[in-house]
Amino acid sequence: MIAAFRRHYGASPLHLLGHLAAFAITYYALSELLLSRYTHAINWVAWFVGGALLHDLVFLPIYVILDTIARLGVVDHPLRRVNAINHLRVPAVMAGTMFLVYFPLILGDGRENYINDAGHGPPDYFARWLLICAVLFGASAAAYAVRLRRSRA
Amino acid sequence: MRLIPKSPPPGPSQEDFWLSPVRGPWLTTILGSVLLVAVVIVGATGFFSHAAYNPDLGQNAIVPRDHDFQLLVFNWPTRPTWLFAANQSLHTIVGIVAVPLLLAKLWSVIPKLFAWPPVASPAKLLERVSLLGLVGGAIFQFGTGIFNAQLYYPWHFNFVVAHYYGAWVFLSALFLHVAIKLPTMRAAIRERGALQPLIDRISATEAEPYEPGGLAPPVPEPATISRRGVFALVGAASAGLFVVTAGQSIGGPLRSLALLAPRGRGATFPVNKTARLARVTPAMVDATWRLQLSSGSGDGAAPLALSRAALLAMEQHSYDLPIACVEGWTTTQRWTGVRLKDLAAHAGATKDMLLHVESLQPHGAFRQTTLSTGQWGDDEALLALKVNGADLPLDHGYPARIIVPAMPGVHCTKWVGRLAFGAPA
Repeated sequence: MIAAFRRHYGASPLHLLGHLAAFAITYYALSELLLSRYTHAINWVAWFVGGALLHDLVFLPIYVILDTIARLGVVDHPLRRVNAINHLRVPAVMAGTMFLVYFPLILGDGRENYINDAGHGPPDYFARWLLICAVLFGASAAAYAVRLRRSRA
Repeated sequence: MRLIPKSPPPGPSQEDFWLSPVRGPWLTTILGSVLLVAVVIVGATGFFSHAAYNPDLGQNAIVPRDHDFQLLVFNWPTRPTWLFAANQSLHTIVGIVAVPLLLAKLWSVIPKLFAWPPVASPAKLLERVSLLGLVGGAIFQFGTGIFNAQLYYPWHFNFVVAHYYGAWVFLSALFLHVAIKLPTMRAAIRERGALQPLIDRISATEAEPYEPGGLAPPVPEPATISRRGVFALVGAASAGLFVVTAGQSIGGPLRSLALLAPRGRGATFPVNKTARLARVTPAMVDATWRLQLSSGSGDGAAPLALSRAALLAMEQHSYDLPIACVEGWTTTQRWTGVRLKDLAAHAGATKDMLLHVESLQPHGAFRQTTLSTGQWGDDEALLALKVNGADLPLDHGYPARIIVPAMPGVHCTKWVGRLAFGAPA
């Protein structure tokens, strides 16, 4: 009987039970959340589903394409002694994740709330981020130069 | 007739579309395991934070009390005094530092999104639905939390309510996902070792064996990064986020490095909600201000009205106590004022009563709060009149504010107008 269940369902009964349990919790949470007078239901769904779609179909393809362009541009030959691509990837990923996390402050999007809340304007986060970019890319370039020199010696 | 053709269309649904030699079950297993530890810490501290608001008392609940099971509510303690600060620091720092891990984990499994056929069985259909809860939930929880810490609210829902119930959606999908993937994870570690693949240099990095429907590519490209390089890259991004963030919570020399933290570098300790925003004017707190102090149901004696001079004439106590915001920043200052338990004795309150605090602030969710017996009964729980030896600045709650060890910052009510000790409702 279990075999027949597997054939029709595609997994064990435990798989089904686990999903039903998780969906019950999700249903409880969504019913509390979406019926609440605090929530604009359609807006919430748009943010929840939109976040996943934006990541999977826009954000991820964009950084994969940028990485591909960089790899084609740098043209690391397998026999080359020092590969350049990761000297580009490390500072780009570090500065990029900082921008991703802090873009509201960097672009000044919460500025009005910040002033109301803190009693003074926010510091110039954009300038600070640029400074961080300069340090990261500069340090990576210096490390690359040192490695190139050593490989020639 | 088939609605869905048997062979995939050109593009990402073709298995040979994916070329990276490091992508495979081992990489995903290790990335997922580290991410799981981080998410468990962030989830647990999130629910502790919910409990720290004592949502079962008075009108403390932002998530409406009658709408909620209040499953994880317990009597939040006052010791150690840095408990709430440490909890929120962990919640926000680990959450932010885990972002590169989350991105890497999602990158490692992206071929699964395009797997062909899209729905092979009823079981796969349910998995797809639960994965929407998992991926959507992860991005929603991280995104809303990070935006909230930056006071950026581009949506039309209450952050606290959505973040709290979003956690239930995300974590239920996560535990299901871990349960389903546990055999795959164990197999990957059994076959390749937990750390063994980290030894290979770029030139020795080869793809994991291809299996149809798996993560490893059938036709891998030559490696441009080793597996240890992937972890170094993720680790560097996490370390960078730690450096520019953690100082607002940890303080010390790190504070000057917290370049991107919302409340990072800065001379004085941060204000959360100015008097202007709260609509508290100097006229409301001038010499005519009186603290309304009462005990009992209210039909007894008229409340006492105490001037600031009368409060300053009472026994003063000074304590170094941290004040911490859910958003993650924290700061320790020296507060001076009257112990709440002395005011309770003055009002004739009994030890089993709750303390209801009201602000002069006319509107807002935190214009009132209810303290547990343990909170107002703590030796270091103060109605603070001064900070660091000087009168409280107006933005910090002049003429008087509440400071209780390990209590959320927004419950340390500013511009106190009324203290009412009363029986639990």
